[in-house]
Amino acid sequence: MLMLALALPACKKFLDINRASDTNPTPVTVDDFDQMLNTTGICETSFELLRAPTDDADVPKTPVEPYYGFAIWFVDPWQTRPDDIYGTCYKWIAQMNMVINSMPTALPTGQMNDRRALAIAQAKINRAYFYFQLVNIYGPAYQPASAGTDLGVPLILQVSSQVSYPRASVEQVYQQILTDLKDALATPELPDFHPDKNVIRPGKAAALALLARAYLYMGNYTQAEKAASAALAIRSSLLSYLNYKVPNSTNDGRMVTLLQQQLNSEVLLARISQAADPRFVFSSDLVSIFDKTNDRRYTSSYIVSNRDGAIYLFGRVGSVAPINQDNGIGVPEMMLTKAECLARANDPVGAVNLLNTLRATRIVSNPNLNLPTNVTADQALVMVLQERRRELMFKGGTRLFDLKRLNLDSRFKKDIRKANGLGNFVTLPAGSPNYVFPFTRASLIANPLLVQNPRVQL
Amino acid sequence: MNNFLSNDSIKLRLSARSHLGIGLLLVLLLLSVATFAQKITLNYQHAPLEQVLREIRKQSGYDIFFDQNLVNQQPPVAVKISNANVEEAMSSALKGLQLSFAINGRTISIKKPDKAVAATGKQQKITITGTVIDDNGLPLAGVSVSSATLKPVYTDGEGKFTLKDIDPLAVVHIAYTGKITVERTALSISLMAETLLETGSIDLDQTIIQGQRMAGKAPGTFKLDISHRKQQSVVQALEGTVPGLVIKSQRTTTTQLIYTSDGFGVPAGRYTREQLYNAAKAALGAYLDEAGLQNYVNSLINQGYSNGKTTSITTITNNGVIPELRGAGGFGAGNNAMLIVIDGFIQDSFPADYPMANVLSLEVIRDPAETIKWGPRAGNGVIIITTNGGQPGKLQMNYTSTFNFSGAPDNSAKALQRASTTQILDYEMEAYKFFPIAGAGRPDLVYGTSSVSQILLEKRRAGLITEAEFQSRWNLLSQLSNEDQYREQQRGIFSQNQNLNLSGGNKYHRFSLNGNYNTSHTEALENSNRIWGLNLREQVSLLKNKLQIGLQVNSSLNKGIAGTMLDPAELQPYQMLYKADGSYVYDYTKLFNQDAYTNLKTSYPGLQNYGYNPLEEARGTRMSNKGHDLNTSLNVNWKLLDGLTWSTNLQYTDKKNNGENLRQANTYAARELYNNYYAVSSIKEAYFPGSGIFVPTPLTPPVAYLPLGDIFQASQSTSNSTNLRTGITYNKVFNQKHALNVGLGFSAFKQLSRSSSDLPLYGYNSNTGLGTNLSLPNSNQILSNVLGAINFSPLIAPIPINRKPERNMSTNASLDYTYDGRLGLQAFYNESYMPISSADVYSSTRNYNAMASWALHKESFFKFPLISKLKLSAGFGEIKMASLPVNLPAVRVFQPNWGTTSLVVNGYNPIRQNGERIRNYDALLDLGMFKDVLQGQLNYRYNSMGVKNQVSGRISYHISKANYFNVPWVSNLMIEGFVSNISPAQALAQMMSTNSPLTGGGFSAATGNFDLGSLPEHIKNREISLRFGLWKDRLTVDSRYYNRSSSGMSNGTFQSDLSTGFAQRSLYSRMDNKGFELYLQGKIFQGDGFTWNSIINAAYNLNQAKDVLKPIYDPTTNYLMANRNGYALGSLWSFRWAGLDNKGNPQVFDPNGNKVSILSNQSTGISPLTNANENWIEYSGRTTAPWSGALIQEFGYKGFYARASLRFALGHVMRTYRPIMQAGSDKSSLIENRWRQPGDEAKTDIPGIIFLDAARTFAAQNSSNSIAPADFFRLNEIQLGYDVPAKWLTGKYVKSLNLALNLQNVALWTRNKLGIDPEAIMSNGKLLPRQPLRYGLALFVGL
Repeated sequence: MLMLALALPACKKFLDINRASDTNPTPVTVDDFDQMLNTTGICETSFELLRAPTDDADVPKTPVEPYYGFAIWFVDPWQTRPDDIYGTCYKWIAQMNMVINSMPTALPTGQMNDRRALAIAQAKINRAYFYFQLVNIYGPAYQPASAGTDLGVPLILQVSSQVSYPRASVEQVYQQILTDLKDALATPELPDFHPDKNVIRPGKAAALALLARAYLYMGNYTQAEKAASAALAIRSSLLSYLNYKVPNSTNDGRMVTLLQQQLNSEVLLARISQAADPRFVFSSDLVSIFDKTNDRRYTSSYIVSNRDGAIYLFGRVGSVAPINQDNGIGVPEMMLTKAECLARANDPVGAVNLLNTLRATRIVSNPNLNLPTNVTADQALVMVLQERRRELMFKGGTRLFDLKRLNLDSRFKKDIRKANGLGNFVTLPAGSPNYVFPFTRASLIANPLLVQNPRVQL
Repeated sequence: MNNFLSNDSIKLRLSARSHLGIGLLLVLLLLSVATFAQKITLNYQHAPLEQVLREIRKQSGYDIFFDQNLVNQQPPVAVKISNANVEEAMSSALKGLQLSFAINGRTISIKKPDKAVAATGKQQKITITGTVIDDNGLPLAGVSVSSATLKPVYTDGEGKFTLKDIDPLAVVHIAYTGKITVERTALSISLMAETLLETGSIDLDQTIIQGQRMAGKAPGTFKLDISHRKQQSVVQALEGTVPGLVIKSQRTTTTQLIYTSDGFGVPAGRYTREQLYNAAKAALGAYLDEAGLQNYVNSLINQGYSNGKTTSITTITNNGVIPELRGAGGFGAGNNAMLIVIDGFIQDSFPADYPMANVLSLEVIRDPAETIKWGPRAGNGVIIITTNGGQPGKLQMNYTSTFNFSGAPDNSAKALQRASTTQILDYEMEAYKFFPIAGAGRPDLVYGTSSVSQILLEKRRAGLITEAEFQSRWNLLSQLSNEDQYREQQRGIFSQNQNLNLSGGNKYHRFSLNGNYNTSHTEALENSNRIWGLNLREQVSLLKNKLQIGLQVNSSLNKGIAGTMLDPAELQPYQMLYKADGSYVYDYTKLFNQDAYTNLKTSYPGLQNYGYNPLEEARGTRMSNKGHDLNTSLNVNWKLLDGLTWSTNLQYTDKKNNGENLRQANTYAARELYNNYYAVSSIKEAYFPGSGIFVPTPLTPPVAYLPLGDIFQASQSTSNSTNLRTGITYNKVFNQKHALNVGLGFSAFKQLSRSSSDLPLYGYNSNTGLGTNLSLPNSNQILSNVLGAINFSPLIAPIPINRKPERNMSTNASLDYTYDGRLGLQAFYNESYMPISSADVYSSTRNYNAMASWALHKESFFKFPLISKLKLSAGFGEIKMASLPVNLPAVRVFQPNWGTTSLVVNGYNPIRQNGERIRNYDALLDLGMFKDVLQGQLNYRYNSMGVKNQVSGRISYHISKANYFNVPWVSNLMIEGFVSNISPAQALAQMMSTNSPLTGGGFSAATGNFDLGSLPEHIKNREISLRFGLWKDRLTVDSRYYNRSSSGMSNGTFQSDLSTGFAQRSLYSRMDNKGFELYLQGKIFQGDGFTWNSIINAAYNLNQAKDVLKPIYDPTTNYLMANRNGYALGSLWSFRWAGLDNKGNPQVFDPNGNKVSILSNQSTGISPLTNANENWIEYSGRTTAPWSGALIQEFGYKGFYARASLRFALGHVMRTYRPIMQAGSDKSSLIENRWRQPGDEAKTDIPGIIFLDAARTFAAQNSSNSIAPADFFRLNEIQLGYDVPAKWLTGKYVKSLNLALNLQNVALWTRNKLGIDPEAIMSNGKLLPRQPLRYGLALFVGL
């Protein structure tokens, strides 16, 4: 024992191995858990599939399953394919849960100690993001009357590979999102943006942007406006698209990689989808709302295939080469959210002015560039929603979620009709249960508590 | 086992037969506690003589030999003496009895006077022979037996020795690699028979202490007879020689149905050809004429976009061969393999080709109580290889040279059931009716993978060639066969090994130097391997043997080129490798056909050829590796003072491997990569009217972004570890009554593994070792002719480095006190620390135990003559588990673009210790009855948590030693049984215990430096063995039944609920293994120079998965091979075959017994298999043989010997291959028997050709009709050898000479009708080339 006592200091030194460079560690320190927030993958979940069921997308000529099945609203679009969205979102939720739950007791490591609160706040923002996506994909749109009973997704806040949970209500999931975001915002250590321009790690701007989103989809326009304004107070700069060249030329300067998002002065919450499938065809419905000559959002985004004449998302040149897609939340979305709230709060001028500010950076100067401000609130709202659709096309599911919430409003509800590629047409009625994604058979088997979303044969 | 290191549990057992004519005296050897004072006090009124003798032995420390029967016959004696010397005590004890005694050195012998021939005289010299066996009854080779007047001799491979002309009273030293020294008089050895000796000066009772710590030791070691095996490799030596050990090929194939994407805006398989056409017309009518539309539809169908619906993905994994013992021991990949230890150094993988010329002994450990010390990987048994240590003592030189050669394995179409050219062409002709190929009349423009014959058919259909032209070219094709060219590229398999062993030394210094040089090549092109090995063992005795230093260095350098195995199945049989002038013939089925390539070259002038040639590829690809492996071990044992020993063991290992992968510029791989980065910034897709084909046309001049040249990539991996164990032990007897053993130890372990790859160098110049700089574009929109927009990042992305440091440290202490041999107190304490973070925080696992014992039988009041031993012990202890966070296996990656480090957790393993304290209470009963003929130990342990009740124990009944046993022809009969129950916590303690010094010095060979963070499985093992020898052991039988179950959480093997965020989860599961093993050895004939030995080894194994998750129906091979409760691992399930229907489609029986045709629905794309369930499948059998074993015959005549071994495996099944019978062609010769027209279904069960339908293929390939019995008998080996008689060598430098000739894979008998070698088949039934007949030649020279 004496020997042991003498040896102890030396032992400590011996055992003090440089775990920080161990490539396969078990995370235990503040530093370890902090590093869990650095992963680029957190920002790279692919939500391509969410485009398929919307009115933005036509059935592509060379579809991949399950894209086709979702595009024309099959009862079982998954068949035997895995659901990457479900698995990936929960993968990151589990990582965030680990950070949130373990950080308070994690072993201190030098100067990293004071980053506990920051890391927890950032993890909560990320968790809120993924739950927002999940509840809107696998649950119905939020309706105050039924949200308490509508089935959302399993609400998992602990870490275990062993325990399965039933679906929480839409209300519960939304409340958790709000709680997480408010917790984050109440954290004094959380800066507006993470230092070193590291867009992977969200800041207060991201929390406010998400909060505005959440309130908007809950129909709480007052709070949504407040959050959006707060986000815009942090950052309100817009990129000018006006110098963007048409695709097929050498460099179009779009900011679609995560590294580029770092330099993008519009970004509040950075999210991209990597290796997105470019076989996406613009619907004629979507094309029809664009100024096809002057709107750079359109002209820099598509190519017409000389193979089949369809309008493809830029990136497809006779190939299956992947491209990146911006799925984040930026200044434009906050402006649109604010504009919508203003229009709904009977401030059409305020709303349209915001739209015009945005349009000035998107559309080459032309007589129709500025929208008239002498409109009714309802007219302004229509304008806002149309601008929203233009600006936020393909942005990680916003169109799908918008369709779901707007279908609840008799003024905006819409049936979608699509050619199935074989000369026939299929129609998705407003409010159809087929808007809600079904779970895969594998998910249902693995979690017996999971209740399937019903879908109907169209 | 590492002889030098270990004396942990090795005990010498000497069995000897004297040539004096005393014969087999059954004697009991009583060993002394080392002491020099010998004043004896005795006071007995009416005591059995034996009891008195025991007391004398105890007090004097002298060994006393006596004939048990003789002593038992004596009446009780009365003795009363005090402070007498030994002679006086003996005289008093034997007073009035017809017995005499003799004291020689420290040995007392008791005899009837008339038979005490040698007891007193020096007049007569004797010859002693003996066998040195270890605690498990296995012979020990290389044990030195010597006396002061005679040169030492060494035990041979069977542990036997002979000392001639020795004075009966001379002291004989028996030393085992310098560690265990036993000194006895020659006489006493001559009297011994099956006597258990402990190491050096240790009291016999120590074995019981060991026994307690080991929770029941089992005779679980099997030592292989490796005489005459020098020319073989380790895998050959193991095959068929160990009951229950099976060498398994780890080549598995898994198939998954994947729904293909559709090329046409329709989901895969939902539409008929007609609907496709309509859709094409709607979309492309404006562009295409009628023919163009038809062709476009055809091209889509051919590319798998149409009615096929599904394609399958097949994955082949090949992990070489692994040894598996007693069936599988656990779940998970690679979990079944045994652990391999060479000279105490754990090997990462099974060194199948390790030359036996370098091997001294080969042992297999099966006892879980023993294997657990080697860590979790040893759960399925350990193979211990000890390399040549030579026979120290005098200068000796041994030279071994072996050559092995076999012809190339037969890879002909006939042998591997591959279709001939004619069969393939016939098949394609018919298939073409269903699948016109892509190209639609313009095969010259096709970007696709059509073979020459398919393009010919297409050209004929499109009218691009005349019928006559077609016929002539078709005929030409049908005459071609590449079989000969493939065979030409094959070489024979060759290996040679040269081994030189030099050993010698004197009293103070012994050494052995072993040099090994090995070269080999397989039939693979360019393959070559070279290994230089140097092993050194150095043992030094200093300070009058008080300081012993041993050094062991095993080092090797290896250099190899992987080479390429050319697979004739890769190409169509008519696709030649080279022309008559030697130039390569290109195959254009990889990406662009030849015409399309030519066409493309007009717009991309620098484009490299898309033709592929496997021979060019093999010659232009060079994967080589260079590495070294250094294992060193230093042992120091220093008797500092009387009883005080300091021991240190330092192990250091250093491994390094550098890989180099060079692809020459002319290889397809390099050309294709070049083409991919031969790109433009603007592209136009040109449409060719009437063809439905689009060809990219560059709008800007193409630029080569990748230099045209060789591609080189280097990779490195290193690993080094240091393990230090040191400690002092103190053994002393005070006042003859107080025996004290104390140990204190400390150990530290560190290891660092690192692996990395360099970025590939493009345009590599092997002279300068440099690549050409890449000219990366400054634009992100570069378009390749194939890839579309190019991502340049793979060319420059950093390759992550893997680095894994490990460290731990432990301290230990032990105390063992015995009073008067009757009362004992033992205690030990072990603590291990391991770091759990980058901070200086570590967790500790602690284990202490204390036990008190009382040897009742040594008390004077104990008067139960039947009971020779009764010892009661009770103790308690505690294991304090480490406090560990939940194990979250993670990957840490440096993200250079961001300047940050990221960490992603990809698993969740909840089985972690959390500072639990498990208290245990032990009760131990040690019983010997009928003069120890019946011995038993029973250990009951109650734990405060976890596995609450543990019962371990063993019982042995040596029936043939019993008094009443009087069957002359039964020379030995023994029943033994044991139960061991090792809880996970106890296993941890067991692993930790390997760090403490052993009583008397030295350390265990096993090093338990494993991650104490993961809990081992709970193992319960029950075993009964019956051993008997008949007719003076001419027939010996060792049979055992075992029943083992291991349970615990198995990690990462079951799919998880995805919402947990993890792909896999842990589940509690259990594996039961039951079986029977028999090892029978008969000396059928002996005498007159001729011997005939026969060995039968047989094993039956039943392994069952228990508590596994029920697999969920899924039409994949994984599902059909999944573990199921109550079934053996590696079992197969199949659909119930119901023959073909009248359209040539496979049918299976549904659960109601109805025949269901498996063809996907043409309008929904859904196959009957999609909606099937678990009731559609049936059990087909297991793929590992429950019955296995071998029959071995050995003959000897004078110097000649012969050996034949017949190996068998029975009771298992295999899945045979069924062809795909859909688009493309299948290369199996079974396509010949396909269904062609209605009515054929009565004759064949090979389906007809149809459109793509993976579900249909899946049913055809995985139904009960593809199951065949895999039973076989293989005449494995025939060996002939000759030991040149010593008299011929007299006067020469050569002291011994031996020559051996060896044939392997001689003959095979199988039960399946197809003539398939069940050991040369992949899990999907495809055949592999059989092991060819192999010739071996070996020469041994002793100098």
